[in-house]
Amino acid sequence: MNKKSILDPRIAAYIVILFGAGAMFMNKAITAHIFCAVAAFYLITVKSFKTSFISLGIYGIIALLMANVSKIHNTSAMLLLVSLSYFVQKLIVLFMMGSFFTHVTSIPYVVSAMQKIKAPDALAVPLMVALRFFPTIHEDFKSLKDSLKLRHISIRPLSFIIHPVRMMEYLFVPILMKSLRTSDELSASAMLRGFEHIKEQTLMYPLKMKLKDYFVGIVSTLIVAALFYLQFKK
Amino acid sequence: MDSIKNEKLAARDFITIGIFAAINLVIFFVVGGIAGMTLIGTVANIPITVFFTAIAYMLLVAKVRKRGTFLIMGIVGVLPGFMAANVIGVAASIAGWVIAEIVASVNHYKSKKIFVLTYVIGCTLQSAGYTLPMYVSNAQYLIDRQEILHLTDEALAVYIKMFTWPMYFGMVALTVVTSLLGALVSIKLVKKHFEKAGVV
Repeated sequence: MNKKSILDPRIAAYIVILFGAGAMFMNKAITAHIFCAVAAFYLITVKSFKTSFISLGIYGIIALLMANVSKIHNTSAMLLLVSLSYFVQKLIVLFMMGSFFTHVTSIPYVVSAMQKIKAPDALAVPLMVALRFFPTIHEDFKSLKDSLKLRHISIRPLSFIIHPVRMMEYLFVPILMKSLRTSDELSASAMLRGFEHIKEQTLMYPLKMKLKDYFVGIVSTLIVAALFYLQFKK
Repeated sequence: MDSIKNEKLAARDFITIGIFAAINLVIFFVVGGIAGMTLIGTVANIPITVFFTAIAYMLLVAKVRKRGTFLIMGIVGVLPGFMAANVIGVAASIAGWVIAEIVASVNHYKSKKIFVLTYVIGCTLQSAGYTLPMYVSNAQYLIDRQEILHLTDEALAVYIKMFTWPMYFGMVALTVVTSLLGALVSIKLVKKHFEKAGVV
């Protein structure tokens, strides 16, 4: 059973893009902090407490580090640290918004939204297939892990650095081999169902913008606009 | 006439591309996530991941030798950038894959060498376009926080000169190397495991 969509996926995508793009411009400490706090609040509203607090914790540690960075006397080391902190600070907001998106909507609704906005087949079909294929890859990977364990082959993150080609052979080749078969079967099944000849497809998950969607969209826009004002005011 | 007709992507090809795009994204996120745990891996994330994603691209184009395959695969691969709201980065990456697609299309998806070249062009332009907004904003970030960090003008100048653009161009150059190596290794793996088995 697919979970229900808390927000319309179009509005959810709008908020994620708005916040993600905004995060890139929030360079003053105060605006960056507020931005992160707002993103964490959005996560709390969807009951994603763990992700929210972990992200806030990491952000807090980095902010603390940045506040005391002037105590490092080596300029090069200090600048390198600032540069890395910058990347991490930006990425945390993006990660939080990505997590927010997965909490407020689900794949069937995203697919419905794509059909509704009449995305071209060349893009919509591969994307729909890709989104629905992730659980299959996960299952395949679990089976593969068991078979590798039986052969006493360990897959550690370090192996990707030490034996990159061997890891490609052990991990990716079997999954790709199975996927080749799956793609043939899936294509044949889709052809049999007349996939190529249906002009207007029925939406299994009909979408309609509600008052809540408009409200969240407008509030998010106002928050980002206010933060932009704070960031760029002289 | 027939060869031109066969070059057009059909619904079954879209399904195949979708499946390989999913594998490409999984490799991208898994390898990118592991690399991201280290200091160097964070900065060189794209150059590292393109080495491993090459196999999904090379196997796909060995199976679907039609116009648009690289482009769709590239677009689906960069779309998660919207989740990170890197709109400029995504647009620049798509432009990169359009250029790469032209190279493969001119060759009618016939030569393996062109596959390698296309992959290298696509990955390099993706790396250059995708990370550009971060590097541009990076300097501004430091200028805005110059006072808080007690940075002198000289230190700031050193930073902007040394740590931003050289690192950016270094990463783009590294992408050329890793994507080339990845594509060459993948071509061999495709031949060893898939062509000899007669599945492509």
